Amino acid sequence: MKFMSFNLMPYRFLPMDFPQKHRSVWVDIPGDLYDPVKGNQLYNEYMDQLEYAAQIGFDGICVNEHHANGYGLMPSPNIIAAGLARRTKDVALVVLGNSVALYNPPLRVAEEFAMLDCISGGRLVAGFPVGTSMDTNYAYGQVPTTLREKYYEGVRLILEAWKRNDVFAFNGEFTQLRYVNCWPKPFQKPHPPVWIPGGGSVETWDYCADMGFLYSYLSFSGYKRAKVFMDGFWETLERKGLPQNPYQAGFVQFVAVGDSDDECAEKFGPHAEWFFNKTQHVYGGFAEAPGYRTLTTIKMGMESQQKGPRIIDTTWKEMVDRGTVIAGTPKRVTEQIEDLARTLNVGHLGVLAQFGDMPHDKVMVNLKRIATEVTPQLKHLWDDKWEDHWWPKPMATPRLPHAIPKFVEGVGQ
Amino acid sequence: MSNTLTLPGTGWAVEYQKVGQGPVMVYLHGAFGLEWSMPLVQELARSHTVIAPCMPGYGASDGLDRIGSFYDLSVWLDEVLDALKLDSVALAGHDFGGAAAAEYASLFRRRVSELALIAPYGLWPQGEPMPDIFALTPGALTKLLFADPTGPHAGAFNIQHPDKARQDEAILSRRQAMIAAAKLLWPIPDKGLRHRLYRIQAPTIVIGGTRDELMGEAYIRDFAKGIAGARVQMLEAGHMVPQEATMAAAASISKLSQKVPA
Repeated sequence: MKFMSFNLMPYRFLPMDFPQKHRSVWVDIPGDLYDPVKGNQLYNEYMDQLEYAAQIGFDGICVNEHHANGYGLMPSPNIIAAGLARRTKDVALVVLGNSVALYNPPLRVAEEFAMLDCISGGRLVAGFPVGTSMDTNYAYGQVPTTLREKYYEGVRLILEAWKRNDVFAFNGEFTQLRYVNCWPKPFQKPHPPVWIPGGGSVETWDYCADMGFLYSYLSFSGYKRAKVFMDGFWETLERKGLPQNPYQAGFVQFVAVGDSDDECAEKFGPHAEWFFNKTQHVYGGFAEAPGYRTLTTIKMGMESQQKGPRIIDTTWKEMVDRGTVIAGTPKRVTEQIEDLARTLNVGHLGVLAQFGDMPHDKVMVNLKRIATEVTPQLKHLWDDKWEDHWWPKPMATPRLPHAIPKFVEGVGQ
Repeated sequence: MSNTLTLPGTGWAVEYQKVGQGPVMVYLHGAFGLEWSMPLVQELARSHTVIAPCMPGYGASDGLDRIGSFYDLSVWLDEVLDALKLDSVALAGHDFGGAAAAEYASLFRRRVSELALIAPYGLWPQGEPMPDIFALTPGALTKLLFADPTGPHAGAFNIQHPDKARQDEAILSRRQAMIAAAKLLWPIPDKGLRHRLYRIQAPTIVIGGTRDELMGEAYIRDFAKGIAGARVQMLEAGHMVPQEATMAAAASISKLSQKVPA
């Protein structure tokens, strides 16, 4: 089992009365609530946290992409990943990922990911999300009906650009390039492992199964509620006669470790409540642009009476009971994560150790306890039977960043 | 009554209503579908043979997959007219259909004898941006569209069926309409029509609602200004003029075909 430290990078200085005064944390969150000085602090704290996680034993560190969003400060995950690539040496850089249809041309993703793979010595996981409707349609103006086609076409272009060494023409419906020439190329061949973060749509299950990509179910609602969506993926593989290798799946989970349940409630409860009650506050009009999901998918949702993935207005107790947060003593947390892994059959877990407005020092302690008291017991979970084909295969001896010399020979003082 | 024809070149089905008698008028519905224009279609049918097609993606009309611009939509309408063996027609349209009618009249200008644009999309106002119909909760949308948000028209529009199956069906039908409209109107419903308006040759009337919160009077006047000789008629209504000012709108449109004595 592989563990990644995942950081959403929330803007943890939203005013207390944010939900009362503002209708949405996403799309039309007011610009004057953002203080760039706080931005300087937050980016550096969060990058410190990811680098620390890399040092203390997490297998990977994970970043993602959101736009005009108060709980996700990474419109460009690649910028963060580039910084992390230089200050870490043996963890996977899981960029989860670049919303392919938002890049014009999507070849940009091929190039930037190739750069990251080279800088990091082959440690990149290439994530290709469609992106949420808030990000893609509202914040980035993409036509909802054609978003998915544009996305699939973009992924096709990127994979081809990585694999081919000749200069070729790409005559797509959405992108036309007379000369495709991705220079540099990624180190990992034929390309870095591809992960598809999804929200539970049938199309994504089929796509991952057919392409051999990893499916990562991204929701903040916890593992108990996620079962139906992960089962959908495993059933898809089974139907197609493919193995149900847990390493073909990923999941994210809030985790908090303390000495007792009461201590956890006291220490982490307010931050988790802050996250759900403040930052999951999205105006209903932005929930889903017409065409983002097909009529067929909407109809299926109606028939199965699926619950939406978004949780708001909740309490710590509810979160713990429902598995939205896994919290408790190291022993309890270990048991629950094992239960999660076996219930969902997942081999990669993105651990959210920072949530809501949790301050830096508290995150560092939580990370440390997870990496030393929990994950070591679980790393061998799937070793007996399964091999991870979706993990980076880095260089044996990469050139690492050197300390900057005080003097360079032959150059004057 | 409801009819279906098949376009010979593409094989696409076109569902359309054909009502009334007299000179032919083709009517293009708004973003939410033909049903919300039917009161006006019926009223116009007292003086015209009104042919009101469901645009691609609406009702049983297909082809939306290959419609990616107002140019595509104009070509579609041109083929519909061919299939109906109509040479030159009076053309009317509301909202999304208004933009489609204006686009068609500026491209295939010899085929349009008269043009009535009712609260048409197609331009982007100077100053304050237009509200976004694709970013509203259902209740807020109804409130935006109707001058009387508590009246029967608004009530019918704001789907509330006690029966879940009927409610789901109505939600899906609204979604289908919004998907088709959003394909061409996203994210800003200005696709360069401003630069083509001058080509419109047909006698034109631009009708607006005095209480339209989506498109104010300045927008309606700006639209008319782009078309040589276009008249403006403001009616007591919200954005849903075909429902809220049915008689007055029909009267204004019918006047277009009455020849002014030399």
